[in-house]
Amino acid sequence: MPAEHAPSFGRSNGSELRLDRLVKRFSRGEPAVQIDELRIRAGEFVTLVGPSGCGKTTTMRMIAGLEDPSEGEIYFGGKPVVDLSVQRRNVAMVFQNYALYPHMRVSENLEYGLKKRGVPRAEREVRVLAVARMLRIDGMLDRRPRQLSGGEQQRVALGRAIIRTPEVLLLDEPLSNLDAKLRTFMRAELVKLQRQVGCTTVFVTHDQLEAMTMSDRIAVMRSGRIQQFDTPQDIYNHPANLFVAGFIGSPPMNFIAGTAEGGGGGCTFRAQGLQLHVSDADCGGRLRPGDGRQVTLGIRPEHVGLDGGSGDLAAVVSVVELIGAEKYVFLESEAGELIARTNADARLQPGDRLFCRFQRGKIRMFDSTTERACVEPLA
Amino acid sequence: MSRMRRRLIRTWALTVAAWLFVLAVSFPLIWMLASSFKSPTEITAVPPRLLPDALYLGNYEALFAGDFWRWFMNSIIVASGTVVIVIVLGTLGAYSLTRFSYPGQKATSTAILFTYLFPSVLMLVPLFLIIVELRIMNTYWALILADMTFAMPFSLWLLRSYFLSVPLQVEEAAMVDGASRFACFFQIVLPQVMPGIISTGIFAFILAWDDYLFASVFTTTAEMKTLPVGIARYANELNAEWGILMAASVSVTVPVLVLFAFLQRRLLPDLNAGAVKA
Repeated sequence: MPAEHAPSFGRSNGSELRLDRLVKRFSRGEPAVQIDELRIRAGEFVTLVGPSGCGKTTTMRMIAGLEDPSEGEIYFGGKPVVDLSVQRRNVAMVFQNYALYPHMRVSENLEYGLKKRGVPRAEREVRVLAVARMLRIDGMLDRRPRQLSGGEQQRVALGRAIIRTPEVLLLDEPLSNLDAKLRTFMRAELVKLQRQVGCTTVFVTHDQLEAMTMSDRIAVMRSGRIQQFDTPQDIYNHPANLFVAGFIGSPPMNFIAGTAEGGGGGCTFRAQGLQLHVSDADCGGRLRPGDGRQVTLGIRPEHVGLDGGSGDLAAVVSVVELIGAEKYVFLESEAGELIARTNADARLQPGDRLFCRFQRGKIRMFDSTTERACVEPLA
Repeated sequence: MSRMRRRLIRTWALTVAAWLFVLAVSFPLIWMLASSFKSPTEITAVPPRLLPDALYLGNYEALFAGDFWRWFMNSIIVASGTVVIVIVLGTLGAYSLTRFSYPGQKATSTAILFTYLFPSVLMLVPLFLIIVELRIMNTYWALILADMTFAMPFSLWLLRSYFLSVPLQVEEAAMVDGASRFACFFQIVLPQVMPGIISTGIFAFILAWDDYLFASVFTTTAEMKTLPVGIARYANELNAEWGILMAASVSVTVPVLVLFAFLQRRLLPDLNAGAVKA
């Protein structure tokens, strides 16, 4: 880190954040959020990811104190905070649309939170300058938000959040309004910034790529519930259920519905046009399907090999997309449509007949009824 | 004809048309101003002439020698009082209508607008009874109450639309920053709706400044008259002192023009631009 960017405004110690049996109901019926437990370590960068309406923003708003939970408790460093007002929780938040104070200059935007907490003017000035330098907005302290570009506005919003060195930093889709190039740049910047500041960070996004690239751990949410809470690598390699498997990864995982027969060290998977013996080792040593059960085989596009001579499943190329360094090959087979990821040099044309070979060790199996990964023998 | 030339001719034609329109609209004002400096014989001269032969100040002298300044002060007090009360109650009411949810909130908003549809004459009798009951007949309070009653519904709706334009997240950001609800209101929201508050103030001021009906009914003594009622004295069914009437009209219009000129710069519509990224 360059010396001139060293944060001299302080470093947050960060607090462990724990959500305990947290429920939010907006009306009678199914709760919008229902989280049994979510424990985020001090200083950790955790992403809540899921489709629109899955409850991730509501969860974040409850942590901030902008929304009251219907049941449950939230702990900052072991202290319950649900009864504390938003003003008394030591959280900072970056909103999706930045929510800057339009009538105030950048410097006033940055120092507003410090002012409200009674920080003396001299210290405020020092901190404003330090944060502004760190975010490279020190040349625009006298401007108003409307005179800034989207990227600059976002930096001001970030600066306003971290200047207080909060216990918990909440980021509500802060990258979604940036163009693709700036977003890629800011992803890395944000992670670097979080490491420097050290506060426990909860990041909300619907973009699984952001979740994968930025987080220490990811909580995948659907219909208000956490589906899986794990490291990006484990979520990608060992998805807990069909939803996580399909949501994380782009292009998404291929699914083939079929039946499994046999047990004890492996099984035979049967689907239309496909018969495959899957051993424990073939799917990461976790396979425990019961005899004759409806299961779904999952395989990521990069684990589908294409062979002109022989393989597990015969298929016909329908579309080939060149994505710079690689190609996405869309295939039609008796077992359904599949996507394979190959290198850009592969010479393939729509209409080509070939065989798909599923990379052993990368096959995943899910119970089609419960949608859960076949980790234990099916009851 | 070249495209450039056609464009130039069109621009000139539009400019001339616009100036003609402005002249037509402002002609009564010009006539009023010119007539206020004409002698009584010049005003009624046939054929009429726009500009006076000599600057005649007799109309203004006669006007200012009378009760004009008393009426002027009365009008100022009533209009300012109305503005202050309308702005205070209007901003609080509009904030409540846009930020809090309570039973009947929507119905209240609609009912408020509905009351504005009643002609002021219809409100006269109920207001009269209330004013008598409150024992404030022939006081400034009577006129302020009456003008406020009429200005409030529209002001509330006007302010409501300004409050709605302030993104909720900006307020939430301030609360996360440690601001109380009051601090949010005064430090974050009010500065952003300032153009709305100024517009409302101008609206309420003009409504109270121009009011003739309430002022003529709710004041009974000469010293409580406001400008519109006082000026009306110069024109009756038997006689009209046109010169003094025109001088009075100019004197009534000037404060409003000054007010507009002073506040025009503050009526920026995009004050909250840049608050949120669209």
